[in-house]
Amino acid sequence: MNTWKALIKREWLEHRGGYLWAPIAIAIVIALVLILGLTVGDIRLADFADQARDATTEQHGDEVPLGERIDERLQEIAQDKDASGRKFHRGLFEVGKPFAVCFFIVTFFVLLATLYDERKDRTALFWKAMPVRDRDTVLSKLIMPVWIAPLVSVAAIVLAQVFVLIALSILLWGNGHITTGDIWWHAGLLRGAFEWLATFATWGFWSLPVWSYLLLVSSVAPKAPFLWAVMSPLVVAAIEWATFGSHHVLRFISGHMVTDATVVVTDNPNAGTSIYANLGSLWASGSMWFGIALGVVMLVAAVYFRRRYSEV
Amino acid sequence: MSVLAASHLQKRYGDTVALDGLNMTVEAGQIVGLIGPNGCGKTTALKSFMGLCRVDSGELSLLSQDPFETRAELMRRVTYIADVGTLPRWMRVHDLIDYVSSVNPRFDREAAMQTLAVTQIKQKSRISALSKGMTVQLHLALVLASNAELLVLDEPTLGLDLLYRQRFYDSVLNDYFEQERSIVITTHEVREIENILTHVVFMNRGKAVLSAAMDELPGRFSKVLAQPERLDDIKSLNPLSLRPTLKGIAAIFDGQQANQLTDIGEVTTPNLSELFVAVVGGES
Repeated sequence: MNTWKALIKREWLEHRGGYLWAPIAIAIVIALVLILGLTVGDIRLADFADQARDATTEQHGDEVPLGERIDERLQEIAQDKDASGRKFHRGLFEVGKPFAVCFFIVTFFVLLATLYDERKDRTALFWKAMPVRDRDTVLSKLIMPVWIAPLVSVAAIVLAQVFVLIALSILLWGNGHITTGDIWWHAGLLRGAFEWLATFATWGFWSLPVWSYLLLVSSVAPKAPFLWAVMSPLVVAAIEWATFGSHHVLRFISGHMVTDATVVVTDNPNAGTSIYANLGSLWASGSMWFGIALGVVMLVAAVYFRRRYSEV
Repeated sequence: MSVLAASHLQKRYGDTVALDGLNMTVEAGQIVGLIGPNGCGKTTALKSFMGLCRVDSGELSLLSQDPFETRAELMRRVTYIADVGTLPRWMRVHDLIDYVSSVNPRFDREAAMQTLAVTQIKQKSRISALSKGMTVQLHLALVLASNAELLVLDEPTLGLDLLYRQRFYDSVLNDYFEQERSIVITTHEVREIENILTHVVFMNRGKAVLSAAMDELPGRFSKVLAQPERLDDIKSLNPLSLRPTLKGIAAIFDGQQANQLTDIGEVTTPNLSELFVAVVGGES
């Protein structure tokens, strides 16, 4: 147990920038944009609506003034608070998207670098003089970025959502239809946090073939692991296309990188309202289990090459 | 029971033969110098001992286990310094100590702290901020505190100045070495380890060309300084090596009785470098 704690901590320390500071930086950028909008833009809806009403009435006389249209819209929203609340909660989920993109980029480059770097700077000689199995080392290098780092991302997502809610509360202050309490109640921050946790956890397995492939490249590439990682599947896909005229390889890879996991969760209009149902449908798909099997095989290969590190 | 027993080790990398029937043993309490020219297979030998690669054939046991199969377990009892450059530069000293003490139950944290307390090394420093000498001190502190039964040093003082080298070997001898422990050292600086070794192995072209205890060398090898006109007499006694010097001819003999040689010239005991040149140089 001590060993595992030490391995995880080691990985955390080495790439703390990607795991901790990157999501925090995104949350800060979101906060800055909101603050700019509220201060420089000076948008408070009550004022805005009044001004807009006056302006539009002056200009267009007979048209329904913008301020009133906003007022009507808010009234509509307020009429069915449960349905609107569900949509609102779902919309708030989108705040996590930039964090998800960041997670993918960080994980991609960490996995691609980790076993390569220790060979190139010869620190592998030090790590391998420690009583730690290669299997455990490689697993810790997978688990840290894929399943533990997202805990920070989820915390940062909730933080960013809180910023959005504060901004909304200020924006809608005193509108007469929707109260601050409504906003915070229907936001469902805790529910949202669990939904993102489940999304990341599932994503980790859904993309396992991609993660394991990156570790494998990292463990064998003689140099330029990025080129190896990108070119090898393209060459295989080109051979497939030239031989069979099909695109299964490319479709599998792109499907298992990001899109399927996050698209199914958020954008797919046919998907159910529950994020868990969408994730469940991923788990029920054959592609998930084929991907996991493939991922495990490549992971075993990465361990094999790390054991024979001095011969690679 | 030998700490290390290697017999007929073979290892090829493609067309290159790295180990060609290497035999070597290390017993508890020995300090063995593994000495050979560049490319003789020293590093491959050490890597196979440490379980970093698998030999193609031959028998190899480290503390009665197969090092490739049980590297992780063995590394609790064996420790290894490759050279000065292998500590992770991005890590801080205290994080590195935490790591080692978490993964190695035999690691004595207090001992490491005490060793470091008398150096300039700060706990909060990043390893990248330490000088070469300090990095070696840190590495050595970690290794000495891990209470291993076998310490393997591969060119440990490469790139260090004379002062640090001397201190390095002093620490190894004073703080680590005792009856039940063993050390294997490879280095180019034969002179610097000559006085601390108990045994020596000369390696050339993937095999051991000489394995001997240091204290049997004087009885076995002799160096004779003779006048040039004694050349034929010297040649008739089959010297290991023969080379001209300012004063005449220097010849090194293996196993000749000293009294046979005293007739020819002045007999002394060759030092380790001379012996190395004679044994390995005579081969190539």
